[in-house]
Amino acid sequence: MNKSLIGIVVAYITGIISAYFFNFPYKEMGLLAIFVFLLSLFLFERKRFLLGLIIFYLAVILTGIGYYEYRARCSSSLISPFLNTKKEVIIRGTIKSDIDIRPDRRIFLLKSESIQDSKGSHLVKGKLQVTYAPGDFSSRLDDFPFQYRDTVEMKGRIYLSRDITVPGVFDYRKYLQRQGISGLVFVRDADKITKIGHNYRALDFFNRSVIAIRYRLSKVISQSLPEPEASVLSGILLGRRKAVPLEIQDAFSDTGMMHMLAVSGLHVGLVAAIFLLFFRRIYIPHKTGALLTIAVVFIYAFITGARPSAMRAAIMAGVALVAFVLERDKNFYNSLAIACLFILIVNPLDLFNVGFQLSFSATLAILYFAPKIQKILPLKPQWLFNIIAVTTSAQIGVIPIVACYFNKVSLVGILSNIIIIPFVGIIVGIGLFTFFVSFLGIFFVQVLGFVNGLLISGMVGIIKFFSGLPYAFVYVCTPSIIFMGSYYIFAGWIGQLKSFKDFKKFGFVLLITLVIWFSYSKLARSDKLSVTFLDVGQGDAVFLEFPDRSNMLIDGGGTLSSNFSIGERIILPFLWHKRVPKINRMVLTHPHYNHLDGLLDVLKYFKVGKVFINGQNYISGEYREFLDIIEKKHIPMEILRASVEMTIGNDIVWKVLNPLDLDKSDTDRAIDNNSIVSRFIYGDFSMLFTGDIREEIQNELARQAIRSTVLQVPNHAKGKISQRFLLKVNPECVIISAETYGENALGDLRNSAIYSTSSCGTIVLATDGQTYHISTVKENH
Amino acid sequence: MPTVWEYILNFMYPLYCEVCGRALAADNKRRLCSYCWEKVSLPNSPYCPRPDIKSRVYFNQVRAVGKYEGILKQCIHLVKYKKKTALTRALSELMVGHIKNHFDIDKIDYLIPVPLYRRQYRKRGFNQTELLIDGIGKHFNKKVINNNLKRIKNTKPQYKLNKDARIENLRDSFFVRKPGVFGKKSVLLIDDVYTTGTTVNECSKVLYKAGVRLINVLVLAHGS
Repeated sequence: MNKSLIGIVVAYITGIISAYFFNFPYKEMGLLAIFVFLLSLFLFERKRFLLGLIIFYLAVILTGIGYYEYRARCSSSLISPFLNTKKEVIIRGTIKSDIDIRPDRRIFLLKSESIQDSKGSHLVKGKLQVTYAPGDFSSRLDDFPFQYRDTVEMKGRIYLSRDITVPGVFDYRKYLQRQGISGLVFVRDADKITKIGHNYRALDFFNRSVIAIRYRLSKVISQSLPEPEASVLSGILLGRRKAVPLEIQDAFSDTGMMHMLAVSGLHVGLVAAIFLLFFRRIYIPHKTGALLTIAVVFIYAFITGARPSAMRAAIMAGVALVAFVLERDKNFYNSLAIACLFILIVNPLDLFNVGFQLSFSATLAILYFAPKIQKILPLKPQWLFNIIAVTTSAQIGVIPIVACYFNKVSLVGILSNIIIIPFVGIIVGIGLFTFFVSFLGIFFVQVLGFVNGLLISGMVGIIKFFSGLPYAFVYVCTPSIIFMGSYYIFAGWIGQLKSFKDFKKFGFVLLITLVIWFSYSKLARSDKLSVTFLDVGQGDAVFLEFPDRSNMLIDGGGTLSSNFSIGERIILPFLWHKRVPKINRMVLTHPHYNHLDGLLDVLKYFKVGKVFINGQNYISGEYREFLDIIEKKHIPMEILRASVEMTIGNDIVWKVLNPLDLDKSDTDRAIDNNSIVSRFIYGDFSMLFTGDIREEIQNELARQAIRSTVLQVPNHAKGKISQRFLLKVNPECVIISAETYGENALGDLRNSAIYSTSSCGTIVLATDGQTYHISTVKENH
Repeated sequence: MPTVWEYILNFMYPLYCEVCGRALAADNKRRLCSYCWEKVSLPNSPYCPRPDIKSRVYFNQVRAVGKYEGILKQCIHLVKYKKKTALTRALSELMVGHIKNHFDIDKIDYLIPVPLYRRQYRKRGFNQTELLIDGIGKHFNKKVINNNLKRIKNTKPQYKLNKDARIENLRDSFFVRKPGVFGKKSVLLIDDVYTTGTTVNECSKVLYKAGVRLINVLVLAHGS
């Protein structure tokens, strides 16, 4: 292992991470880096090696910071004036990628050259992701005449999805920005996109041949196999995960097999091994064969889209093969470090890519643990125990990261991998062989396709069987940084244990750590009441954490959109991120979809102590499901009425103020008016949650003592708010949970500080019973 | 002084002594640390194993650089079975030293390695004797003839067999393609390990029949 190389990688990563958390000016950082680097050279010259080395690493850190800042902040700024303006602009640019063919759409990357809006044409360089999806897709999709390096002109809106402000939720916008994509364009009509020329370059030869091979490979796959086997094979062989049917993807992810659908070391290793053996078989000298294999491996990585995991594997294979050619020893830690450095130099933002993190942690764990496990299990057949050792090690490495991003840990992962990996080896081998045989004629393609089809459907069957097992996977909450850190430290330590004495020491420290951790998590009490207003668009979702460590979820938000589940995408990730073991109390103020939908997934995946509803008679599929789950899981349920009063812990009083009695009529207004209204009193602080009550109920409530420090504005500040009610509540601060709200509402509320989820994102309020503090994700305006 | 290229290479692929694992300088060509090199290159006094064969001996003189034991044995194993071909540089350096002391190189026309059977060559990817002889040829500026002496039978490895079986195993397995090339010349035949001498004697036999005037044999190690 070359320590200085690994030191450089660690220093560079440190730089990138610090730049991620803090803002630095990149030009100054760059100059500083050069200066520090020269200083270290000077010190080396003076034979001050240790100091020189430290200063040198400092220069690397500064380089990481400056380079990250340069790449992260400068690329997107040019396009941003045109983002989300809802105005159509004319974009002119060059197609920078292969056309991604999906059943209902075509997707490609466009390098924009100019953007023309009503004010004129602007030179804007940036990367945009264009989706072409005509309404009646089947007919017009087939004649999509554009290809790599065409220059096109298109009319469309540039947009980016709303930035996600709920902690713990996957941020698609940041994900795009990490790949340098600063905007999305959606084109629906064929006549809105025209070719105006092409921009071929001699250097594109490589890319063009890669695209040609990829095209040929996908054609061979679709010729040789029926669906869904064809898409599974193109998922495995080409890493086109998105082409795989969702249910199969889910089965893969439930059984910890998702890495099969992302080209990584397994695939690249197989390709390299197949070609090395093939070149030897046809009597090509070993060194020449190794050099040819390097080329093959890189072409393969590019065919599959040059994602971090594939590039990592290709670079590592390349470094190892070069070692063979140079007759030098290969050290996989060094290769891993070189791959890491290379990928992060090409794009430092990849460090925050899930695929990058999974790939590198899995490889590192394999390098570290697999030889040690093999030593413990020196059994025959060797290949089987090799697979066991490698799979187990990889799982040790990735489990915390998987838990962190997907909140799901597969319990059958090791077993299913051991069974499936040999399958994948044969399937990839036959798939590649089919490609080469395809030049001989369609007959061979179909014969091989038949064999491979059987294997693939067998494999999918096994995976589905595993995913159907009870406890195939469990949901886990997001591990904390401290937990992940200690996990890796202890895991690394286990690998170093040699004697029984070591074991005792290890066990002792582990025990002490567990005791400290456990007692901290059980005993640590704060006197804080913390209230989180989740940014769920036009809906309500409020999460309360009480000083006695119990909690309450009031409503769960919801959208009418069928392809976006608020529960699955926002509420669950948020609760997992919060590391909530159990929802103690769940309140549904009233059963409208934008309060109810998100609760369904919570009921499904969480232990819920008690559910409080208003007993409204309401007919909707979601409400039916809601009640069904409660009944099936035997969750206690209580119907709340005004005048109910409870204490939570010792300090908090929960008073229910509405409904006094249900308005039996079936109108939306009546249903809104039946909302549960709660008031929480904690010392001098009090807070009023009003659901969707309208003016008449507000007026009615104004008769009671409802003065509160903070008010959640009724009905998303949509309708008119009763002045009498506002005067009576007299809030210092109001919170609006909405995507849009009436301007008149702002006038009504002018006496209080206004926070709304539409402009602030998720809002967190913390109070100790005397003072309170509000923090928001975005700036308030 | 290491070159910049060697520095960069050593950064990516650090060199270690193949025998004891010590880190090496970037410009180390032998892949052995100075301790191991010193041990392996200790003058092992002119070591002349007697050909231990009942049949006729076809070569004139045979010498071994050292005994097939210790570091020398390890090195040969590393080359043959772990493919550490870079070590052949150190080994041919040893042989060069030995030739200087014990052979009159001026009187030798050609250097000839003991060949491998084709299939075995392709399986291993190299012939260790050819790699050894390349270094020697370059040093003395002598012609190496690789392809004229051929092994035409896929024989079993000699080390598994007893004395009589060895002779039987190798019978008629060597062949000279163009005898004219060797006519009236004197050659130095080179092999890695010498145990009973059967292999080099079989080679010498066909060389003798091809008209070679003087056959000297140099092997890396003599095992008993």
